[in-house]
Amino acid sequence: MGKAETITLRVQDVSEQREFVADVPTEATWGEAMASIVKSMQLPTNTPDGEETVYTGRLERQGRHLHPSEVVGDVLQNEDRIVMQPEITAG
Amino acid sequence: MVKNCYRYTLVVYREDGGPLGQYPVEVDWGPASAWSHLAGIRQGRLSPGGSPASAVVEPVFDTRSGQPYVAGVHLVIVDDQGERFETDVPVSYFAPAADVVSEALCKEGFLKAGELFRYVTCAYPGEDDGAAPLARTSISVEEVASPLPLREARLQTCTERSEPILTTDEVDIPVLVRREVLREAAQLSRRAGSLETGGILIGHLDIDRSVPDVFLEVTAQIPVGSHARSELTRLTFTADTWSAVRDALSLRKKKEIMLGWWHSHSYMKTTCKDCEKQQECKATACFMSYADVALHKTCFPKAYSVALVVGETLCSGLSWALFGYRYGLVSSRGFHLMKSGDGSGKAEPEEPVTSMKGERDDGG
Repeated sequence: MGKAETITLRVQDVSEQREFVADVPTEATWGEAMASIVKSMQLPTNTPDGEETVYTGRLERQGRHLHPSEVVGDVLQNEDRIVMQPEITAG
Repeated sequence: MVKNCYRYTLVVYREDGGPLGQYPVEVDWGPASAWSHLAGIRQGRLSPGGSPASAVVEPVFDTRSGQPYVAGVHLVIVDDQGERFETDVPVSYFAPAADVVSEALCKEGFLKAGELFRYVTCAYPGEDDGAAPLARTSISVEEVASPLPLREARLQTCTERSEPILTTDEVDIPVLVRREVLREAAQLSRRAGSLETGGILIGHLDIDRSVPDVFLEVTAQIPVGSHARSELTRLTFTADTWSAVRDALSLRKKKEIMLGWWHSHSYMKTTCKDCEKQQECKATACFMSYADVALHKTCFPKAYSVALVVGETLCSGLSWALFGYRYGLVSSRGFHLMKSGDGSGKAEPEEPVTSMKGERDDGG
């Protein structure tokens, strides 16, 4: 049986107030997937000062942060729950 | 997705009436739509278990001036159970757009920083700008409709055990805060000195079907601890901050959810320490900056979310201000302070709470 081409992920925003379903190619890196997911979730990518907002995906099943270079098919499973965590500054 | 078939512009004038021009504006109708959906649930007109399926926004033209001058907008929300709710949002919803225009006018030299200006909002028929699809990629992402995480409760029972702090606007969702939340936030703020600190507000989103209404009960706060970066005028929530908060929330096992956040403004203890005007100064540290509003909208987008600011100045001491969404704009608001108790039947000594109306919010 061949490896699935895509897997389905459950993605939440940081406060768990919004949930999304993402179908991601297994050959993509997490960084590539995250860029597309952030855009689709319409999360801001810049602060009011114009600085880049950095997001990290937390894999709930393992309680760890995903590295952008990790390959989706190697580290994620179908229906894995991921929380998008921004590094964000109050002033 | 909100359907909008109008183009909106702002006609800007100097304070003396001198014209500065007419400028098209992009408006995010999402917060207004989310707020309207919650208002429909609170009034018992939309199902608490439903999610918004579609929304349409149209201008309400001024009755005296007529088209194209706008006095507000009208939203029609239909949820996934086919129920419909309509509400009006005031023209102040365009205030953030006016800020963007004024910033551009300042950069171009047409306005000076701090100069007052006036504007009127206009609407003209146009194409639906809410249906533009995102570019196709090999990754498909769809939002899952999620009903509000509601718990059955009695609003009157909760308010009987609380005291009002500032007047709550009748359109605002009632918020009850346990006294120990404010006490802990004050202690953490003082411990941080002049540096900013903060935390996440947790609790329950309750529904009282007998009223009907939906209300918040803030039961606790989870401090950001050492995972956040504290500076004099900045507080950075890192990925480790959020992970620690989620772990702490999970360990409590009380089915609490994140309702919002709090942070402190204590920089004036440093910047004002040599000021000679302390006796007459009325400066307040209880405000939401542009960065604070941006964080609130990014991390706590649901219409029921709240933000607490603990401000401390040398001239007015320590105080609190609560902010929440009103018509989709982040606005200062009142709340109810629940009496504390240690469960032993003996009430802890009640400390007076000094709270003030917050400033510099989203314009609502």
